[in-house]
Amino acid sequence: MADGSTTDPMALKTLSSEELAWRSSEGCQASFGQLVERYAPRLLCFLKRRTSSIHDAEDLVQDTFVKALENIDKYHRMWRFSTWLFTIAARLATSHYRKRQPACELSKRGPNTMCPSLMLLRQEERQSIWSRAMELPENQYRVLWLKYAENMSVREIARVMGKSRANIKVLLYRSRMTLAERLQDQIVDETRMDRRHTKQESHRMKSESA
Amino acid sequence: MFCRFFRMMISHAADADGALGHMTQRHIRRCHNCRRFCESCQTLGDALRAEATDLSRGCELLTERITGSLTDVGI
Repeated sequence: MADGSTTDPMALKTLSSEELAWRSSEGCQASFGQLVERYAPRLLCFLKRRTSSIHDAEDLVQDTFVKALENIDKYHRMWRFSTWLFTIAARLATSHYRKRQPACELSKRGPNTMCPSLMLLRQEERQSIWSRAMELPENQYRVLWLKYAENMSVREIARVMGKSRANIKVLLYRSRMTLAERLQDQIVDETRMDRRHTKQESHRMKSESA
Repeated sequence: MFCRFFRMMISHAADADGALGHMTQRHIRRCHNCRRFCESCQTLGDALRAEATDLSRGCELLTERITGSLTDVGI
């Protein structure tokens, strides 16, 4: 465990996010740097669902950290740091989308209008279950991310999203139902394709042997 | 009609990573679709957790950019 004055990156890695936040509020820049390292990629995944370019999502992540550092004195230890940080991110994202709607709505844009870097990113993720989750409505994607990537409870997710617990439970239910159905369809399609391929192969072998 | 209710129960149990109630357990023993949904919830959860770890791996360029921006705004 690091002592109160250490700025050794290795020692900082062992501290909890809440301890790092407390040290940041005492003016330790290295501790905040550690929080940035820990949360930036996770916030990016949380925010990129609805942005038209990866740069927009990165800008939002950056704004989240600027706001977090400006308000680090207001962070209360009764909440997990991640809950507090994701609440800031969700609020910033909401106001960002409100300003830029409907230009940023991915769902209303054709696939060819997507920025190349995001297209590349999406292509890399095509096989991933999270890429299927990204096809869900934004709120459903976000509750899934907070539940399974951030391990938040329903209560914490409700706080981040600014919704009731009952609402979050319904969103989780819908996201599971839709995702399960889509993955089931995918499995059925793949099985059909496999069968077709096997049929073609056996037909080809038969005709070769004949 | 009852399936919708029991799927909600299955989903609520997954929310809390908790156990299924007796009535729900009895229902899924009889209902193939709800049993499949219950299995999906479990496998989906495991897969989403596992893949999230890969997706949230460090991103040095972004971290540097943010750290730089914090210095630029003089915080």
